[in-house]
Amino acid sequence: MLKLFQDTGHRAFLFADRLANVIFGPKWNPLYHLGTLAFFFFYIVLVSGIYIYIFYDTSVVNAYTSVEYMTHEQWYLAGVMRSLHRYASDAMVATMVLHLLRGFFSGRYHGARWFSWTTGIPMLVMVFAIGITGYWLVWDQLGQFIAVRTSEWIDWLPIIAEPTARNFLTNTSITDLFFRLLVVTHLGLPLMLLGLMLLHVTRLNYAKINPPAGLAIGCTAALVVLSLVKPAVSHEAADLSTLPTQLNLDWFYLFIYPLMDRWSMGTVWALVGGGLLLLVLIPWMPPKRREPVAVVYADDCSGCNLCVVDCPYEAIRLEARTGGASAGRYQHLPIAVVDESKCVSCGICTGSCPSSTPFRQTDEVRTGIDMPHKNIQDLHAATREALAKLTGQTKVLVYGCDHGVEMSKLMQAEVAMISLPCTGALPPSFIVYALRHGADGVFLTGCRSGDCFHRLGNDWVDQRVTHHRKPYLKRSAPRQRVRRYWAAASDHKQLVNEIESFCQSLRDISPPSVKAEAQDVVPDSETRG
Amino acid sequence: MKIFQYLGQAFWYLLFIAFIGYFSTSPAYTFMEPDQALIKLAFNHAGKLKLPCREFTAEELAAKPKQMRIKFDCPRERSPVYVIMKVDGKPFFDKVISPSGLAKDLSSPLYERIPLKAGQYHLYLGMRDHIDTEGLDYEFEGTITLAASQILVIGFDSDLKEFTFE
Ligand code: HEM
Ligand code: SF4
Ligand code: SF4
Repeated sequence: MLKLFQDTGHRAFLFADRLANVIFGPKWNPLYHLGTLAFFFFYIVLVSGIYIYIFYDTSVVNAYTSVEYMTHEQWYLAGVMRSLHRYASDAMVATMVLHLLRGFFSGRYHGARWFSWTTGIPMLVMVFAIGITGYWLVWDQLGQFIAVRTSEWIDWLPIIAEPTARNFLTNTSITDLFFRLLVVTHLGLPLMLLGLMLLHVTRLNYAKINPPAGLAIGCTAALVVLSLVKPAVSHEAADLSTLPTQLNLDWFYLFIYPLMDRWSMGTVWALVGGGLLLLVLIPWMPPKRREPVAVVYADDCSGCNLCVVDCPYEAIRLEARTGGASAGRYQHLPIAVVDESKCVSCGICTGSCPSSTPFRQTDEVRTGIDMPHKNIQDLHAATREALAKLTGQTKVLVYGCDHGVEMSKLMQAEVAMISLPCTGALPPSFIVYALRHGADGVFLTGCRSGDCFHRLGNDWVDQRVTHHRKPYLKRSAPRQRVRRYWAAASDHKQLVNEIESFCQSLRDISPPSVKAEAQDVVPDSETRG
Repeated sequence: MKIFQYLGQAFWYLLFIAFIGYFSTSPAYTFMEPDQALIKLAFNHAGKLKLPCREFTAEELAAKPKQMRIKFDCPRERSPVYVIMKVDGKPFFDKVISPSGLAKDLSSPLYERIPLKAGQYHLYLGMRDHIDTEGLDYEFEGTITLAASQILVIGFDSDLKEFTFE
């Protein structure tokens, strides 16, 4: 049931992504930048907020008129800033919720990834608290409505004996002190939120925090246009002896207030509490056994740091080696150490390790860092087996991942498939190996560019193949025999076409230049680049 | 091709601001119908002490340590407060409000929203602040006029012992 819901949502995102990829290209696709856009809108909120605070009067009697001044007298700057403040806040909620849904539908919260998910939840609460106090500060009829209903909502909880709603009985019962407290909340919470936002991405290597410049400019321009076309305005001034009747609610922030009127305060509490509890539990629903984490093999780790810089989850660091002379040939060099609590078992580190090579004089293929449950010997065996199975005229070996198109769907006489936890887990030396052992071409696929399930896997593959990231794919591997095509689970048809066109292009060129007879051992210097 | 991309982006941004712009104020929400008025019955009145002070008996005093032998036993617990409101002769609202505080020795707070259509009403209010009272301790009877969208705050002045209207 949950799975079906997630799959449906995931497919909806993939569909929208495809459209956005056509319009923006994968680098600028806003749907791949929901988190960074939320960050960016937050910056706009901060800057515009600081500006309008200069004009804002924090007393009950003057708050409303000071906001009116901005909107009507200094409409060209303070008014625009006020509108930007409102609309960027709305955009922040929209992108944040989409970002949450995207993470939920694609299942990017299991195991060690619970951290980003869980820190996101207090951020969600804070964003709403900031927005609600913001509307309160205007002290118009909407602010009055929020003040009264919020305090009545809080009073429902049996914690405070004296009903807080009594503060809003008459125009004289509300005090400047209370109002200033509100202002402090509205200014203090964003600072706490900023701290949490930074914490939210601490466990991510190369976290994307800022959107690409083009997207940032586009969004800013769009919000400025909106601010000019539809400036933010207030309702009538608050008057506690009069009932607000019609209200122009900001549905991004205030949707729970109509629920309070329709249902009971208790129901709304149950809804909010239950919803938050559900969010908190999601990373553990259903409870999954965590996959084994990466293991370092001291004899084959030279402390080169490649896996440290490639791990998308900052789970590896280098440490001084202990064990003296018994620590093998690399005894004077540091060693990689995996932090179990951060490792998500993506295997990308095995792909980064220059020791991961199938060309060995010893009979066993080894590596410096590996996944115990899907190790490099398994990959070696699978590669040999797949190559042996190829019987067609052109022989293509496809390396894909568990999150892209389902590999078993692609099998045919000319094409053999191997699926890895992430395509980034493929050491480039295996591509050379396959070409030397009978494959006419090697085809690499996995999640769409910009949307890797493990964040960075397909980027690393691109860079290794194009000689921009170590370990490089050796130059001696002819590039026309290696093709990359990034495709989501729903891109089955496009992938089949692309593989077909690859086979055709292989038929058009002469037999492989690198032959199986070539020497089997590659000097270390070559794989290390 | 590039031109279509730019057009597509322009359209995308247009959709984005249309979405943000629309839901930031619309659809309008009718909190209260225009002919609606609201009475807020709200006060914080301390009920009388539940039991009167009484003198300790000789035996009770003897059982106490010397320095704690005070003459009177004055339980701090207060009576709950009972309010009733009738509109045009019909009972409309009534409630027993327990005193707050762990020892039930503090006042009884009330905050109640009572929506009524705008118009003229005959209003009756009664309150009892001691459990032993037979009838009611305080009463009010009179005609009120509620204008459309008016909020009438009815309180109780514990010093003057009367209902207040604001
Ligand atoms: C103020 C709102 C938020 C902002 C600004 C924000 C921003 C970000 C950013 C910049 C990233 C890094 C993306 C990357 O480089 O891969 C991220 C990751 C993540 N966010 Fe948020 N986020 C917000 C709210 C939330 C919420 C409410 C949730 C869910 C409850 C959430 C869940 C996640 C998860 C699970 C990841 C990690 C994805 C992964 O492991 O690949 N975020 N967020
Ligand atoms: S498997 Fe390797 S790359 Fe992936 S999270 Fe664990 S240590 Fe990092
Ligand atoms: S990439 Fe391999 S050799 Fe380099 S530090 Fe990591 S485990 Fe050691």
